[in-house]
Amino acid sequence: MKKKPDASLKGKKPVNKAKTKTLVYRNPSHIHNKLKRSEMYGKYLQQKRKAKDEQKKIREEQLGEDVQKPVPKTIDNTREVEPTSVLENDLEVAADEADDEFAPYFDDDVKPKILITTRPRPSQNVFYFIADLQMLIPNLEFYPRQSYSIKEICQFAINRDYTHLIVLSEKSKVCNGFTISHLQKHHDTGLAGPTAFFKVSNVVTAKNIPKHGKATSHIPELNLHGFGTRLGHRVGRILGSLFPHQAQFQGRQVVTFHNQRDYIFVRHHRYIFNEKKKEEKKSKEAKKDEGPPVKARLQELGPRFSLKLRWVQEGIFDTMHGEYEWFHKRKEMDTSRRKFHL
Amino acid sequence: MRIVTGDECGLLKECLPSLAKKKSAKTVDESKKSNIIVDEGIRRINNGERSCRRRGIVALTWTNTEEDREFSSLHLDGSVEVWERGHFDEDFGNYRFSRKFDNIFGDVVGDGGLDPMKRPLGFSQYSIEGKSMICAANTEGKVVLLDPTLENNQTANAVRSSFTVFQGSNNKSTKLGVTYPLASSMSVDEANHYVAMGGKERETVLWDLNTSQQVWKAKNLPPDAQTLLQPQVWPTAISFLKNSVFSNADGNIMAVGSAHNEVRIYDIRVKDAQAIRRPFAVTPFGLIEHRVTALCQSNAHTLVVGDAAGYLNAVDLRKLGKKARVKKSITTTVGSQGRFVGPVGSVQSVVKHYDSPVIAAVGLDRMLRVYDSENRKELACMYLKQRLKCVLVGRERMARGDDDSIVSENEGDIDQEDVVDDYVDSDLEGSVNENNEDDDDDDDGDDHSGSQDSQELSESESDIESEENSSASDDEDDAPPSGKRRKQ
Repeated sequence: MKKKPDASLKGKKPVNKAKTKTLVYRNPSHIHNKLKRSEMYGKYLQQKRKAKDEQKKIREEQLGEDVQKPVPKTIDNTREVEPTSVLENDLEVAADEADDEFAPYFDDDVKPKILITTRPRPSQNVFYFIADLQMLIPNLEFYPRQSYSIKEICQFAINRDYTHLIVLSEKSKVCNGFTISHLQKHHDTGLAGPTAFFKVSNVVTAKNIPKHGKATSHIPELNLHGFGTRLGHRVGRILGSLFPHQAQFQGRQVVTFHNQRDYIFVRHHRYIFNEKKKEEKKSKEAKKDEGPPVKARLQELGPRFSLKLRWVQEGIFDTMHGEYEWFHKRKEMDTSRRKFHL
Repeated sequence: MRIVTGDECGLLKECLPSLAKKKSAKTVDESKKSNIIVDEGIRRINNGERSCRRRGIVALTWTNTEEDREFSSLHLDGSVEVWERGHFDEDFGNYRFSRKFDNIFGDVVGDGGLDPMKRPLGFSQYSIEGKSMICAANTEGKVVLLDPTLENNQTANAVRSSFTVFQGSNNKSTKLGVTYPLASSMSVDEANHYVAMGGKERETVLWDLNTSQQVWKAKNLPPDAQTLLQPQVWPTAISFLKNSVFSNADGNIMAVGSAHNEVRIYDIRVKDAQAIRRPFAVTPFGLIEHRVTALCQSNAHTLVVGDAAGYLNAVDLRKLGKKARVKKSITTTVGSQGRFVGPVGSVQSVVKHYDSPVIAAVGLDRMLRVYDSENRKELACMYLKQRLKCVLVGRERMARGDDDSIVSENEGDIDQEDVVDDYVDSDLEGSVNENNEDDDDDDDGDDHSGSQDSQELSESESDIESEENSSASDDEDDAPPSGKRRKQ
């Protein structure tokens, strides 16, 4: 007996299913077969994308030429207003900074001389990090900690005319703390300068950076970016005072302290300028921006790490009797995701 | 309420918390950024002077509290400046430089760097036989009594007497080669004319200002049973408590905060036969976690303790025991009434308003904070751009706007007249009003400033009344309907 086609198909012509496109309207998560489901999901995403592009075209044609891409809201954009932000023309703050402990370094009257040490019995990784830091910060000298207390070390350093002391602390063979203490006394008040403690994270030594370069002993330029509030200025000045302020431009090296969302990213680069060749193409109208005529390329040198400020103390390092200028109290201060202090 | 602050760069600022901008957590908008910082509640007093750390302010004190008329400031270079406000100055920001006394300790030579061993420590005003005097001390232990009413630049005449407290102390406190100054805190007892001073490993001593003699010296607690050592001593904040629960007469009790994280309360009845030299109360170990930097009495039994990491604790004096080491289960809770949440940096000075329960705290985090001392809520927080060292709170209550919840309507309102209106028939209204106006003129003629005050106050009061009436009416509307519903 010849097989008759199904009754429901009466009057319908046969259709080649391979040539027709099935439109997937809903998320194919209901399909139990994994192979089929993944296939349908791929098609679903493609169609979604296509529909979005068509909508965009229609919108652009309707609105005309000057359609601006809407700026997405990020945490940086929607940051809470800090009353302590420093405005450009604030005379009071400028006067204060002209008179503070770091003014001589920024005016290049005093050259920094820095002593770095670690916790007693450091691990091997910290030595590599210190070697990299010596390429990053000029005039950095390492002394082994042995078992002296930090106060004793401060005293020895002052006796030998060091201006700053850096102490690295670590946990589980990874460097996790960075204390900077300014040892020299203020010319007016006669008091030694502030101490700041940072938490260190994401330490990558130069060896581990792909295509890294080798730093030379030229004095690098300094780039302090993103320090907006009063506290930010203070921290920026502490970090900036580690470097001599007579950059040797032939070395083409730059150290960047970039503050974003209270994390300070420290990077060391060598830059080179490339001029773009002028192409004469009068016929073709340039659709995209041609770009600036001179471009800078960067090669990363030296270590890469991030810092987060934990506290700033007045005077030399003294956890027992010191007075804090700023102390991070997590429960009181981190009340909102959009509130940053630096 | 008028608040005067002094900072480490030598700037004096007058603040009115009622005019401070309200906190609004808005997002940063480039166009709005310029509007953030201009704070109408702050006016700089010494505008003419260049800011310089050498002229940093160490202490402030009122020398004439009538209408907050006059105060003086002690600077890092050893000079005392007096600032006054005119009689009819109603606006704020009107303090003017009046006179100056240079180099009261005789230490500063030329324009060179200041010796950190000889810095001015603090000063305070006291009155003797109706005459106001200032007692100032420096970190070497030198105490100078100054007459602030003399004319400008007469330092030699103004300094009435001076004496050195830690005399004959050749062994300066040194540890690891670091030399600490002899004296690290001072305070003046206005009632009994004493000055108290203490230093690192030097117990608090009381000297009489009139006789320049030592009258009392504190004694340390007995040695600890485990370590066989007496607890270390380093007074960093001293405060005389008035009208406390323990005093018989005014000014018998002294609170001393030390850098070793504790506050001790002493009984200083020196005039009695037996002087008690040991503290009768100590804060328990663990209550205060950092060095004590400021003390303030907030009421008869509560002491506000500010420490170096920005913690402001309210401590109940009645609950403190004699021993610092108490049972582990009650450590940090004995005596603690709670914390004033807010400061992030070392609290340099805490001051209470003369009679209302309002406290102003100022610190190295560059903020002035005003709290209600009873429920520890923050009333105002003002950003003052510099690291603040000292604060003064005026007695006058200027604008009504700020402390509505605390200060009751008619408190302290002497000039408010009780206007008693007779029952007035609407027909006779015109004539009766004219009569009332005449009466007002007669009264106003006497005290020009007083009437202005009452007018100002009555205006703001009427605003408040209208607000309160509207809120009250809202409540009334809400309450009865629900009551009715429940009944049904």
